[in-house]
Amino acid sequence: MARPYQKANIPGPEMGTSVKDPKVMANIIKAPKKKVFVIGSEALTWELDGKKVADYYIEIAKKLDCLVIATGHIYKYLKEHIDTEKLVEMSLINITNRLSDKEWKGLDGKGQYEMAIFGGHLVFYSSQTLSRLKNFTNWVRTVELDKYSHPNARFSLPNLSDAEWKKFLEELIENL
Amino acid sequence: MSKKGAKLKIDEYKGPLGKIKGFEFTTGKVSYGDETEWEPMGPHPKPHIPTLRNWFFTLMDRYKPFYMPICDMCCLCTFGKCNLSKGRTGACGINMETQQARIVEIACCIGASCHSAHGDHLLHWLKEKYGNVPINFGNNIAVEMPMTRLIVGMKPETLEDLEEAMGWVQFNITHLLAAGHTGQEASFKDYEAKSFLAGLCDSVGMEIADAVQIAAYGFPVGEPDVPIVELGTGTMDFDNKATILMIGHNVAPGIELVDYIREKGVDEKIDVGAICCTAHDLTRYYDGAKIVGSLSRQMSFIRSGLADVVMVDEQCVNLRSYEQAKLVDAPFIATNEKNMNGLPDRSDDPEDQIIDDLVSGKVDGVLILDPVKAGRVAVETAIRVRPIRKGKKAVPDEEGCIEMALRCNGCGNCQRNCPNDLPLVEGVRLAKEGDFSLLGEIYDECLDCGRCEADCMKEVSPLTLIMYAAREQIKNEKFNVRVGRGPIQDTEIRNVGAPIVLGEIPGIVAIIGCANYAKEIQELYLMAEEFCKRNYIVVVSGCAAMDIGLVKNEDGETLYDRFPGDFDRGGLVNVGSCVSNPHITGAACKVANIFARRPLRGNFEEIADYVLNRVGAVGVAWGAMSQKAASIASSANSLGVPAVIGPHAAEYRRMYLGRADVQEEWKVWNARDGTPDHEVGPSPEHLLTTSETIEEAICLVAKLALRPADNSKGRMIKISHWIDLERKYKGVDFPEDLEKYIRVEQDIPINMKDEIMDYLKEKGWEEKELVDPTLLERLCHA
Repeated sequence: MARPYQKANIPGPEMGTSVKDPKVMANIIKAPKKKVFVIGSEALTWELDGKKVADYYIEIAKKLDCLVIATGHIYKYLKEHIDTEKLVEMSLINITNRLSDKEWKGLDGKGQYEMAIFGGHLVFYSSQTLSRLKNFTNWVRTVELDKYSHPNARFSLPNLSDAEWKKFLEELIENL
Repeated sequence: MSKKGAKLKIDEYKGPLGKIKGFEFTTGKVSYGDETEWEPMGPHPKPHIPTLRNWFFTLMDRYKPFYMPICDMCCLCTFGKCNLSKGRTGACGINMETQQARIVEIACCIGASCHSAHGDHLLHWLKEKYGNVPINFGNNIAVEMPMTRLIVGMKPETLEDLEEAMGWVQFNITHLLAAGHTGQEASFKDYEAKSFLAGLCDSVGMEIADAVQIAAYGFPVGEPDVPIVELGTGTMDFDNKATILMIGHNVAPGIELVDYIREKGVDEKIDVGAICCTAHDLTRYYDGAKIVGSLSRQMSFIRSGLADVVMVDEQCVNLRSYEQAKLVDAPFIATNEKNMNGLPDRSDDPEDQIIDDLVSGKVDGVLILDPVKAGRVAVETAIRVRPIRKGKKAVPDEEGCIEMALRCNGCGNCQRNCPNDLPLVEGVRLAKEGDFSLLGEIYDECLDCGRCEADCMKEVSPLTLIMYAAREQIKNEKFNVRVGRGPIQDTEIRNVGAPIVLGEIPGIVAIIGCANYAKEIQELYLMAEEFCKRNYIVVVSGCAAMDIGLVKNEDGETLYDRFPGDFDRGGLVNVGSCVSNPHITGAACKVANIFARRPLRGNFEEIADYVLNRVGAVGVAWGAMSQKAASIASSANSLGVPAVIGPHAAEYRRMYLGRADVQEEWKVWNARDGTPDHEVGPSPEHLLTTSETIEEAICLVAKLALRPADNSKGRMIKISHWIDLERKYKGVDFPEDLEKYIRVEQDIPINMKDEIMDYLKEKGWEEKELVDPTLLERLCHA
């Protein structure tokens, strides 16, 4: 994988994979039947050429047609764009806790999720919650869509500039 | 009361009693008076590792340790490195959970020993200087050291009595630290129980440190109307006076410095300011001192050349402060054996000789372990060195800064090494063109750590460029903070005890801790203002107490100008420095003791059960950074006080999380009739949790203030605030799990009754029985 974005964040031998190709990433996140997209408040502060990152994530969520978890205080924004039947407000730490419980039945009561996709979180904070999932679960595959190389995510991006990230997200959306 | 050691020796006696020759009697301790008079001894005085283990395990049955490793390996012994990820075990047999718990336990021991060693140093220094001073906090405070009474089971009356409590702390820390050795503890839960006990040691160690300085230095003893003092990097009179900057947490040399200024009458020639808790404690003694700021202002203040002399003591001192002082020709004085900086020990040298050496530049730093001498040398050196160094700074002018920026090749190492991922690459790029606006904007988000410059191969310092960009703010920043008042008065507890326990005062919000924020330094202002306006009691200490003061409203008022210092509805109470934190947890214990008449003495388990179920206190350590903050959190958590910590604090790697969705984990005994398994709902939901944003944290604090024993009126008030905040900051109609917190119809806020009833019907809600909750069967009446 690419070097972790935060240079000192070398957790150990177990590190995830950087996905450079948006088509490959599209296939990775399309495949699982039961998945959840966890969107954080940084998606409101980050902009790519004047468009909020939250808006890219909303498009991805709609294409994936999956449940969205709004963390931090982003629910206020997401509820204007996503059907509230598919939107749940919950903290990042609480959803991580539930995802790392094998017996959890999910928010629909039908069972644990196969994949958790994350985006819009402080890089050092999500590194820790991803570490929880990496070290204590083998049932949830994790994907990070923020521009950073995340060693604790199973799949993440390879440290992109804003321009590269914008292109990646646009191509990802096209291929979903 | 007791006296340490007694000896009776009779060489020769001849009289009515007969003849005695060569009689000698010695004892380690003599007790007189009757200690049991003040309160009968509870079941757990002076707990050791196993004593309160059942209580800690009970807490963890509900609030399970939740680990997020920051490192997947163990490298503590020569078996390693061992990779522990994905179910592996190390060569010693340790697994990932236990290793995480072990590291946290060691951190808590470091934190507890830090406060306690600080207390031990002060205790002995003050005994030497002032003798066996009584611990008497006046008529309004009869319960003067509640945590020591609760945990150690003693009521100290003089400094000498505190030796016994300190002995208990030191005994336990030694045993707890021993448990961190390779091949000791195999259970993560037992490590966690030890972390809780380290928290108790910390409570007592901190309480001793603050009690002795209150007693001996005459700090305020709980008066709400203590003075307002100046806060900010621009508060010292740089143009007209010599300036001394102190950094750290141990105020002993600072007090001597102030005494010397007074004795010599040189306060017109010299200004004194401090960073971190020394600043708080200095202003508790001398309201002419300035609080320069929290720990994230150290490098920028020194490098900007604003200090003529830098004097450090202990804890949270940037280890580059000596190097920074050298850059600006500011003599550096280390004063504490825990932080000697490799400097020559000049403690026994004549003062004049040390001053001459520092002023002439023969030496750039000295170690002086005698606080009196350190204070005198600092004052005289500052006065004499000021005209020589002429405010020399290590921040170049605009031309120099542009020149530096032009060396940048845009590799991005600085930004990727920045803890907050600040936009340094773009900021430096703009600086090449003479545009410093972006770097100026991020000054308040910068932690002042210097990791950016440490990772630059081109000798560019983004930190220096930020300092240049923010030079006017650094030189002119002036706000206010209320001096630390120390303990909460018993009379205040009597006034607020019932409304707190019944829930009518919606909560006590304790905003404490360090300045390792993920966003701007002023973020906590929003939280403090929100809860003050809503009539919660807001209690603050340490760096956080400074940072909430860094905002003024339209009328030019800080929060301290707007809200009173009373421990009452809408009060904003600054208790003081880090070691003043037991006044906050102690207030929760006093509610149990003074209002509810629960005995304190050696009765930790019962009081903690009371606080968990009845006292809506919530801690917030938004920028928690240190091991001390870890042990403080353990002390609060062990007592049933939940805490919310900021995003960086996820790097502590362990939380205590409840599961609101698992109904059976929220069962209690009904103390009224002794029946078990009453489901009371998830309150408080967590014991220790991170939060992603300040907005989310504000909502969470309101939620965590709910307690199982709230009466319906109180629950209604608390829920009303919680819903209101969730709507304001998150835009929800209702909190996702509202139905779990409404026990009976009377809990529902009247102005929202119809809509909430509709919501509850949709959720299939049913009323719950109201009980007298306890987690301890032995406290049931039948």
